[in-house]
Amino acid sequence: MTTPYIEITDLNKKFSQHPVLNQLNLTIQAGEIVAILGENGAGKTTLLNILLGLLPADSGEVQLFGQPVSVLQQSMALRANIGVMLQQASLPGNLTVLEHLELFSCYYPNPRPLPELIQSCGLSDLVQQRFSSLSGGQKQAVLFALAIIGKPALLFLDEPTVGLDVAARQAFWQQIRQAKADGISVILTTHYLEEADQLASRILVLKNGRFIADGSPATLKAFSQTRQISCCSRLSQQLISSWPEVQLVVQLAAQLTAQKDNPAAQHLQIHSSQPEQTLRRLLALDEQLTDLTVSSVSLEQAFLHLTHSKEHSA
Amino acid sequence: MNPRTMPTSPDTTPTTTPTLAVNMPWLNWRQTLNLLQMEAKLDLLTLWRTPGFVAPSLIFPVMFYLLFGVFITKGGQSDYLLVTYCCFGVMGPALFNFGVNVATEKSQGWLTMKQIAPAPVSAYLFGKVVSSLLFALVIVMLLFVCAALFGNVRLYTSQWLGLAGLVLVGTLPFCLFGLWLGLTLSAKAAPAVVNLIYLPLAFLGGLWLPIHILPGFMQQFAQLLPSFHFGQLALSVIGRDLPQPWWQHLFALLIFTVVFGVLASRAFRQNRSV
Repeated sequence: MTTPYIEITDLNKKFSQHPVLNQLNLTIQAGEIVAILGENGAGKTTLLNILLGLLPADSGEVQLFGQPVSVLQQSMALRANIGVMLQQASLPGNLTVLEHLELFSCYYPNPRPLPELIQSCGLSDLVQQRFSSLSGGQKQAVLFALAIIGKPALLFLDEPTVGLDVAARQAFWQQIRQAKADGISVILTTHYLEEADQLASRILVLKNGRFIADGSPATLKAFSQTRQISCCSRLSQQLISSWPEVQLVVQLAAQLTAQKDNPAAQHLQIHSSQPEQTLRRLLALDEQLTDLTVSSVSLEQAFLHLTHSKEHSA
Repeated sequence: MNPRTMPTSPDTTPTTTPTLAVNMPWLNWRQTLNLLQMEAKLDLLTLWRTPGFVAPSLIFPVMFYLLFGVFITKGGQSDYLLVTYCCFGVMGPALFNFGVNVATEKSQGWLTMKQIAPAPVSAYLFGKVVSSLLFALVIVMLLFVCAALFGNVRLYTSQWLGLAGLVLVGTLPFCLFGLWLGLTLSAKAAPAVVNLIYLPLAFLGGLWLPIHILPGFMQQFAQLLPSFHFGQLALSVIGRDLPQPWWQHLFALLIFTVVFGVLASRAFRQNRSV
C-alpha cells in the first residue's frame, strides 16, 4: 500500500456557524500536480490552512504523509518535507534577497545550494536588492525560491499568481513546471482556469465547501457535453431557457449589440447539451436569425456551468 | 510515535520523486550555531536599516539625560539620573523590537512562514534578544560616556560594570512584555500603543525625574510598575539609600517576568492556531 501524501476524511470547518468546508474528502498521491479551483470565498485558503496545521478542523481527519497534521507542530522533519507559498505573504522589506535566502537555507539540514537555486529561479540580478524594491513578480519568485529551498516533496501554492501580469505569470508557470520535473508534488489553489489547465494533472473544483468536480483537465471538459451557441435573434430569453436541453442563456448588453436593420434582435449566448436540437428550434422559430456561431466551451465556461447548475439544483 | 520518523516512501513512486526523509538528521551543532548567528545578524540588519528605530532609541535617552540630568539640575542628580536613564534607554529597543517588529512580521505573514518552515521559534527569539541587547549596550555606553564627561559622575569600576550588567539583564521582562504586545496587537496599532505604554511607564516609574520628587499618590502607584522596580534595583547598584530593600524590587521584577512570559507564550499559542 502506498501512503498518500494527503488524506482528508469527512473534514468540516465552520466560521461562526457558516460552514466553509462541508464533509470534504480528498486523497492526493505522490507525484500529482493538483489545482484546487474555486471562486473567492469557496474555502480554498481555509482548506490549505488546515492542511498546514495553521487552522484546527472542527471534525474529520487530516493526514499528511500518513501522519496526523497535528504532528507538524512538533516535527521539524515533517515540516522540512513541505514547502509553502502563502497568499499575500511578505518579507521584511529592508533585507536583501540574498539575506532572506541565506536565513531560510539555515533552517534545513540539507538545503539546495544557493547559487543553483538563485540561477534556476531567475534571481541572479536581484540578489543584492532589498525585498521592498522588487516588483510583484520578482517578489513571488523570491517567495517561490524560499518555498523550494529545503527540497520539499510537497509544495503548497496559495493563489501564487494573483495580481501578476501575463509575462510574470508565464515565468512563474515555468518555475512550477520545473518543480514538477524535479518530482515535487504540487497543490495549487487558483481562480484562473488557464493556470489550472496549463499546469495541473488533476483539477478539483471547490464550491460551497465541497468538491463538485474532480478530474484531469480533459475529463473536466468532457464532463460537460455542452456547446455554446451565439446568435442574434428576436426570440426571448425566457422562451429559449424553457427548452429542456438548454442550460444557460445569457443576453449580452443591448447597446453593444443593437442592429440597425433588426432592432428587436438581441445577442444571445446559449449553452446547450444538445446543440443540434437547439439549432433546429432556433432556425425554425426565427427566420431572421443572424451571426450564428457554435463553439465548444472552454474549461472556464464548463466550470461556470458546473457551479451554476449545482447552484440551481441545490 | 517518534515524530522524527517519516514513513518510508512508497516503492511504486516514480524515480524522480524525492524520497521523504527517514530518521532525518536534524541540524548539527555547527548548523545550529550558524542559524542562531544568522537570525541575530539579520534582525540587527533590519533594525539598523530602520532609521525610525535607530535615531530615537539612541538619541532620546542621551538627549534627555543631558537635558535633565546634566544641564537643568546642574549635575546635582547626574549619577541618580544616569541610572534611571540607562533603564529608560534599554527598555526602548526591548519594547519596540519585540512589540512593533513582531506585530509587523506577524501581519506580513513572515512569522507564519517561519512557523511552517522548520524554523525553531527559539532561534527567532534569540535573534531578537541579541539585537535588542546590542542596541541596549550601545545606549548604555553612550550614557556612560556622557555621564563621565559632562555629568562628572564618578563610580567604582565594579559599579560601572554592575550597572551595565544589571540593566542589560533587566531588559528581559520588557522583551517579554513587548513580545506579548507584538503578538496581540495589529501592525498598525503597535507603534502607537507601544509609545503610549513606554513613555508613561518611564515617567511614572521615576525614570525621567527622581521618584521622590513626584507627589505621594504617584509614588504609591509606581509600586505597580515594572519600570519603577527596574530603576530602584539599578539604583541600589550605585549604593543609593532607598526606601525599600533591593530584594523587594528584584522579587517584583521576577514576578513581572513570569507574568509577561506566561502572557506571551499564551499569545503565541493562540497565534499558532488562528
